[in-house]
Parts: sequence; structure tokens; C-alpha cells
Amino acid sequence: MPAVAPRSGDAIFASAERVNAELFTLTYGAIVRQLITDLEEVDEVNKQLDQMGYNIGVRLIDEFLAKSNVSRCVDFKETAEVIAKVGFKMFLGVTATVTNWDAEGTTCSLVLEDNPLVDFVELPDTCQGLHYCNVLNGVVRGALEMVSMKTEVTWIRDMLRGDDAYELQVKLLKQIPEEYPYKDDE
Amino acid sequence: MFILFDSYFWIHESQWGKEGEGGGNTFDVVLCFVGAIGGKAIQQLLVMFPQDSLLIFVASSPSLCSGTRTAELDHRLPKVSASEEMIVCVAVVGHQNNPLYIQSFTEADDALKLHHIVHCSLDVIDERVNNPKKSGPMLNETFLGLLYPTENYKVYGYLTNTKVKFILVTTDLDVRDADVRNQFFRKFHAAYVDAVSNPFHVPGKKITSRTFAERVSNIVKSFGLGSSG
Repeated sequence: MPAVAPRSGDAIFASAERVNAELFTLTYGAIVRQLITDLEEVDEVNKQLDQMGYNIGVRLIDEFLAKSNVSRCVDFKETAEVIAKVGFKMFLGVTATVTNWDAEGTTCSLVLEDNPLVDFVELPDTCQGLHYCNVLNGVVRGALEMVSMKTEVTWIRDMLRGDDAYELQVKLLKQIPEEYPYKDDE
Repeated sequence: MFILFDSYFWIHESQWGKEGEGGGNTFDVVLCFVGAIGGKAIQQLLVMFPQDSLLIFVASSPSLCSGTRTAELDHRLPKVSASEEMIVCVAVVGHQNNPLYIQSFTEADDALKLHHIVHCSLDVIDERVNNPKKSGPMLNETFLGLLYPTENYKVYGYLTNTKVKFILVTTDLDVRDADVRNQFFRKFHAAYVDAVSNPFHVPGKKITSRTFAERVSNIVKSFGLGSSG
């Protein structure tokens, strides 16, 4: 079988089926809203969103690999670039920039200038602790876990809390050897 | 001959309201109650009666009151600057006539009076909606037009298809209906739609969004600039 060249995020995004952005935004808003009603505690909501994202991520990674034809990344730096330029573009329609690498090359930040999840959204005073987009954390974490990278993803900046951009810090904890059977030890 | 103007409405609705036409009339004495017609209308009367008829303005404040019609009168008139002719109040009212958002834009402590005006206009809206005069292409028209003119204000209404009412109170008595509809209510409607799209907004509850308040105040400001220029 001939090798297929990796496709750019733009190309995949252009050919992908799409739904109306407002439908997407309002659906996500409704989910968050419902979680707040059900769970009452914002911390619980954050956890739940993260878990939901994780479940999405572990499924999404296969679609991502199938459609993007990206080859194996040589290091975590490349992984981060692929997530920012291809992954985000493919599923969210925006690209992120990768910055703030630490010396060891295990921690970086994905900065989103634009985020379709938060159109119309304004956090009320009662929900100041809420990470509205926490689902994205989970998606990144879940997806990377499936390709044998254990990561920790946290929000650094959030425009809903008055910052100037969305910054997602991705920290590589360890790379699990591939042949090692995955064990749920957490 | 003698003519008496005791309300602003009278000037506008009567045949004298059309500019220049009043000039052909030979009234010796024109008596106007300034408090009733609004200071702005004095200018209009001066245009309407350019001949040497005697205009008498009766007003509660001495600066408003003048017995002669000379050039001097022009600068003794209250100077109504562009910033004073403006939107003084906007309101969003829900389908059960519950207030969702009401904001006045005056320095003075007249919020209660403006709220009262908005409240009164709800009856006018009900009346308009229940007795539609227009039909056909106007059926889907959400702009209700001028609800009623008071001494110093004009009140406009807009009714969305979900029976949410927008009400605008302005002191600019020369404002044009088309401007109100296209430059104000269309933008205001867009801002409202975005505000209710916030997942944290509960439909039927007050709009607490700061973004909405900001957008509204920008629309109000830009409308004042757009119509005075």
C-alpha cells in the first residue's frame, strides 16, 4: 500500500461534514447548564466535563488518525504541534499556537485566540470557579492517553474570567511503553 | 386672527405642521404654551410663521418666556444640544408584560418617571396588537412605530414574534421612524438574541448580562450620533 501524505487541518476541515456553529455552541451550553443544575457544585461540574471530554478523546483519536494520515510523532514537541494545527482545526475549526515550552520539553501551552464553545457565554457570579471549556482538557488528555502518553492538562488562562486568551497547559507525565498492556491504575 | 398651540401633538398633526405652509397663514397673534409643546417646537413655529405675526410663548421658566419674535429670541431659547436630544430609556418586556431589562440614560433622577412611561406604553402595544390596522405585507412587521408622543418624549415600540417587547423613549422629537427601526431596533434585537443565547440566561428572567448592557449603551450612543448628524 502506498504511503499517504499527511493532510493539513484546513483540508480535513474543509471536507468534513459540519453543523451550524450556533447549534453546536448552544448544545454545549445546554450540557454545561444541565450539569450545573444536576451537580450543584462547580468543582463537580469541572470534573464531570473533564470526564466527558476524556470519553470523547479516547474515541476521537481514532477518527483523527484515520482522517489526518499523520505519521508517528518523533517527540512531544511534534505531538503538540499536530494537536494545535491539525487536531483543533479538524474538530473545532480553529488553530492553537504552541508556546511556553519548559526546559525539559515536557510542558507546553496551547493558546486559543478564538473559541467557538464560548460564543454568547458570560459566566454568572455564582459560577466563577467554573472552567466552562473543561471538556477540551479531557479530550486532549484522553486522546493522548490512547497513543501512550500520560498527560495532565490544566487551564492557565480563560477569557470568560477576563484573560486575553485561552491557554491550555499540557504536561507530559510519562510515556507508557506501547507493548505494556494498559492497566487502569488511577 | 389668533391661534393657540397647547400641545406638541397639535403642531405636528395640524396642517400648520408642514414646514412652510404655515407661512401662508396670516395670524396676528400666535400663543404657545412652551411647557406643552416642548422647547424644540419653538424653532419650528418660527419657521412656520415667518411673517410679522406676534408669537407669544408662555413658559414656566423665565428663560423660556419671551414676548417678541426677534433674532434675539433665537438665542434666548433653550439651547437644545445634540447630546440632550437622545434616547433616555430602553426596555425589554417579556410576553407576560414582566420587565426583563430596563435602563435609563439620564443624569437626572427620573428613572421612576421613565419606568412609568414604559409601563403606560404597554397598554398602547396591547391595543395595537389586538386591533391591527395593517395587513398583508405588514403582517410580519415587528416594528410598532410611534406609540405615543408626550410633552417631552417620543415612545417607540417593537414586538418580536415571541411577544417580547422592546420600548424606546427618546427626547429627540424630530427622530425619523425609519431610523428608529433600522438603526436602533434591528441592532437592539440582535443584541437581545445574543444575550438570551447565553446558556446561563434563564428565559423569562431578567437579563443581567454585562455584555448586553454594554452593547445596548453603545447602540444608544451611536444612534444619537447617527441621527443628529
